[in-house]
Amino acid sequence: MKKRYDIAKGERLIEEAHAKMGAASGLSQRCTELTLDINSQARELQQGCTVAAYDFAALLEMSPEQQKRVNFDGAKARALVAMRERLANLAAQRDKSRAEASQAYELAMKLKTFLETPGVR
Amino acid sequence: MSAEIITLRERIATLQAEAEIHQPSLRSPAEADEQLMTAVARAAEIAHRDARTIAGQLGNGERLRLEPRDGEGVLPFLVMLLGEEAVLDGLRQSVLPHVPKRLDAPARAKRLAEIRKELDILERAEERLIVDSGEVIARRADARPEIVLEIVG
Repeated sequence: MKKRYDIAKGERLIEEAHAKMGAASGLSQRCTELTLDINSQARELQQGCTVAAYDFAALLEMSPEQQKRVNFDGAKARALVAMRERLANLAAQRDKSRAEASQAYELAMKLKTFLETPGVR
Repeated sequence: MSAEIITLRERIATLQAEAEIHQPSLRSPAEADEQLMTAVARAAEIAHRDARTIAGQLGNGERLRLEPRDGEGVLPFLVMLLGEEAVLDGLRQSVLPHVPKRLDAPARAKRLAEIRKELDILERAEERLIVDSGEVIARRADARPEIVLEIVG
């Protein structure tokens, strides 16, 4: 007796894998954009500051008067720190999404080949 | 993901790893030894044939040629120079310690069939659990299409 396969399920899983690849790619794009934004803001922050503004934590510890004396924009630096945290979270999501998408895609390719085998449909 | 799926996947991974060891193309130490003996015996035949050619060349005052012929490799020359036994001993010492301990062909085929049978059962059970869970559970990248599509969901 000929085996029956759930063809619709196979097609759905292939579509889902493509959607997962798209989502992972979107997250990757957002990470790139956020990185560029952070780099540009960090450059701006460094330009006016009279001390190296790489270590925001130490500079943020200064009093507003001290920050003013070294031309350090505390508000901008705090925003930047928050952006870096957002980037770290986003990058973690991206990595997870990439791993899931790649797993689903690998299976989807095998499903596609199987569905194209004569006699399966 | 349910504990049941995790347990099934662990067992599946264990069986898949065991199946790799029992692949028909791989050899047991005894089979590898047999193959070495066959290769050296064949090299000895070639060495014997070539020895007569060489004797002929020397007798005729020709220049001695010792290039291996296509597909024969260097083994016949080693046998000619060192003797069959020394070559076989050397090969055994350098090859056999690196051959993993595995079953001989008939036992391997039997165990492989048992593994495949158990994998069929486990993978079907896994797919049934995924479908019945109603949750989004990522399938293994090495899940078998015929089993995924056999279970309606």
